[in-house]
Amino acid sequence: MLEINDITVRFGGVIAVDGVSLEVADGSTLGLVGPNGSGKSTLLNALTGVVPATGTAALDGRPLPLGRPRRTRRAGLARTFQTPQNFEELSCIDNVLLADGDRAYTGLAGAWLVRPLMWRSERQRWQRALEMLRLVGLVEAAELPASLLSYGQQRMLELARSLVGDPQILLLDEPSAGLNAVETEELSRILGEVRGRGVALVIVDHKIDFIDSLCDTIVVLQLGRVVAAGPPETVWKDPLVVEAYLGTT
Amino acid sequence: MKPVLGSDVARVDVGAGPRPPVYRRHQFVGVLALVALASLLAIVLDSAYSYGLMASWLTMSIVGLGFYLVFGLGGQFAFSQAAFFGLGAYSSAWATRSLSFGWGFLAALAIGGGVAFLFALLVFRSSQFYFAITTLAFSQIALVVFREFDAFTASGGEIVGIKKPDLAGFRFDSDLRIVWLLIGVLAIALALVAMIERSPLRREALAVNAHPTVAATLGVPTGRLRLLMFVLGSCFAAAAGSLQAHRIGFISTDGFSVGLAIDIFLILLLGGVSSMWGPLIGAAFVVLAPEKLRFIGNYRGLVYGALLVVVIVAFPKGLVGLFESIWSRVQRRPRDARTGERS
Amino acid sequence: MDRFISLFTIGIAQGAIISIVALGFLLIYKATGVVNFAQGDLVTLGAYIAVWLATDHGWPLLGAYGIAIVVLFVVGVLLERFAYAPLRGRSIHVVVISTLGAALVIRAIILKWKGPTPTRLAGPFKFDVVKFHGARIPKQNLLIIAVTVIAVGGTMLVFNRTQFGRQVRALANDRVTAMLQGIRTNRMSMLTFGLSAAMSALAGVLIGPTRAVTVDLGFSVMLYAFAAAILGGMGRLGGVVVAAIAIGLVRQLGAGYINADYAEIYPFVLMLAVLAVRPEGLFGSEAGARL
Repeated sequence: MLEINDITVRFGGVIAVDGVSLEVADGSTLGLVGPNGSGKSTLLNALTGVVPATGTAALDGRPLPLGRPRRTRRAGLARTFQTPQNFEELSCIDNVLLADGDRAYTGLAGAWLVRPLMWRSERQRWQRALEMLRLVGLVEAAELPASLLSYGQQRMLELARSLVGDPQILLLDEPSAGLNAVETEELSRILGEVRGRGVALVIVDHKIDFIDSLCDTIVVLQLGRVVAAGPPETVWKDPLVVEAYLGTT
Repeated sequence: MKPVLGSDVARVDVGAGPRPPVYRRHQFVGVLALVALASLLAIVLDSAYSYGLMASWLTMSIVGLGFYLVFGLGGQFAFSQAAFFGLGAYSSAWATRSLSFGWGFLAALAIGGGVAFLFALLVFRSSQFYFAITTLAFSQIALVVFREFDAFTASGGEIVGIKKPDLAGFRFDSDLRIVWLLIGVLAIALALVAMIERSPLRREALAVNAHPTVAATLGVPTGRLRLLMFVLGSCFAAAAGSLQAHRIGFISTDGFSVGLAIDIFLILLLGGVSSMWGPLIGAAFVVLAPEKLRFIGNYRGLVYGALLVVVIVAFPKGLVGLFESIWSRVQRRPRDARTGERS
Repeated sequence: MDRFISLFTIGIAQGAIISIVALGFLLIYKATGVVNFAQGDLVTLGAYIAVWLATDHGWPLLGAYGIAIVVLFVVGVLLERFAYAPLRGRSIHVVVISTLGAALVIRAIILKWKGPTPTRLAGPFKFDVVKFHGARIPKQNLLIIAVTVIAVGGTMLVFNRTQFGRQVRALANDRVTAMLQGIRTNRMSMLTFGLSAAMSALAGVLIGPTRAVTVDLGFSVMLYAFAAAILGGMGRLGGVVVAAIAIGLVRQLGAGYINADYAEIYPFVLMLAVLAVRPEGLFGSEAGARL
């Protein structure tokens, strides 16, 4: 279970995230919604150490240090970005391999001194990477440079990359943005499979149907604060939420 | 969702053979080919002048290869390569006052690597621009130290009478023998870089180069990688410096100025900043062009400056990139002539 | 005591020159984000033009200096047009390397034009000195300090009080928004490059009379200017000026009281020491440090 307590992010005078606390139960799916500027992406950035933040977080009772991206990843938190951040110069499989949690012999010793051991670890990593690419339908593009992929495929590649480290929790930042209806369907299906493997999901998105179909809990942010939280049916009826989306603020 | 892919997709055979054809490029074959070619060249040449040029080319290739590690793979804008070249030369000269060449070479590696390590550790957390300026500062400091620190170098930074290299009694005292030595060292350097290219280090270094923040969120040790590439690349320069000192027998601070650092930039950029073979081509140009083309010799600064701009604007992948795009275009044409399918 | 005063004023004067070059460099950096590695060679070019007019052709000094500054303004604009504007969409690496190329070209032109032998630039005071508490202070140094105070004061005024300065600050803060607000970035770039080059020329004609004019004249000043910019935190004009003065003082006082042979490197050692402890620089608030 991921517990977040009182996360606050300040940019100069602006408070982007204001004392947000929430819980993500094991294997559950949490939707994070809110109007533009409500701090959703910034919250994800704070959790993964991309921006400095105050507050605490804990995974399964163990404290999760903020501001240390590598530690957070090792602890089991993976993420995708608002626009796919793939490495264009690298092949698709290289992109996925980067994120593999098993870093045995990835250093100089592996390259110069004990190459057979390095190859053995690499073969295992290749198997896992190809499996992830197969899951998202990109296995045939494994050797192609990521720059050749379409936008939707880039999203899929990023998804594959985030899954390969066997994360406990996957944070997805607007995963359906830029995808057409068919691609969004496919994404839903894949995320369903991911959920089936026991990974907890935190999805930031705008497409209500997409969110509703996947999420057990919805948390609504406005101006950096939590204004509502609960199962989808309850939240969408909440007057505060209605006002946040349709009202004058 | 079936990705729409062209007909030139390399099919991935999952489970067939010891490894998927991910590392298809034959770096080691390239190294052997180069050694063969260089050896042929060495046998064919016959004047001290030609041997001198070839030796310069081999030496600058090693320096350029080191810079490939620092800048091409590691992504660090650094002006320190020339300074480490000098540090290696002076270290080797100092050590061989009483010891043999082998120890001098090792001293160059140890001192060069040690200083690079300490320096990088010191300015570790600075941004890329600040780091670049600190390397400029470092090279200035190095030049002054070379000039003034008499105990280590000599008065005015000029050292003469450095003995020729020798290994286990075998003296490299002829031009041809020195070229053999250099070919050997370059081959080792190329092999070491090839081993890095054919390992996870390559993708990690390129990732840190492109998007360090994103790479960090994936668990890639960004700081360590940069440090590693910088130290390794500087060691290559120091090794080359040692060889240079013993080949020529004379060193002075003139040989290690910032001008050389910029030449090294040109070597890598002209050859191809993203390829380990780039430095070889770039070094060939920088060594041969001023000699063979008088016009370049006379207007060196102008030509190099203009070249830098032209290359970075029009040919960002350098000559290697140019060859690669011509090669792939040549490869595609025969296929269109048939049914568009790969055989 | 007289020794101290002597070294002190020389240090301030040197720091003053460094601060002019540093401000010129910072102007370009803030307005366009570019690190101009040709800054030093612009200083040299300014000095050489003044030499050509004053020493070779006997022009009156003020006229020679003035023309040099104006010519360098034009050179700055040309530099912007050829080495920066065509590359505007590209990564910062590309632009920096192109300024490096431009530096080489400028140097080569100077070399071809005037040759490698050192030459002299006449100054208004020859070697006149002023005596103060037993120390002999070259009047040129006092002139340098005076001119710098005016130049720096003027720059800060322009920066903080004029529309041009406001626009530069807007560009430095957030380029995209500034463009959307209608700031004419094209014109701004040309102006800043031109002004920066003119400032370099000013530094060149100020420092010219104090030493032999060679093709390397501007290079070491540029390095110190970079160090000053970094130490001063890259953002705050005042901080950079203070850092520049500090660098000049460290160099001179270090030469006088520690070891003259190593004088050139004391400021660099200082810079490295500061960066080791504070990667953002002394007064830095920018993202000088990386994640």
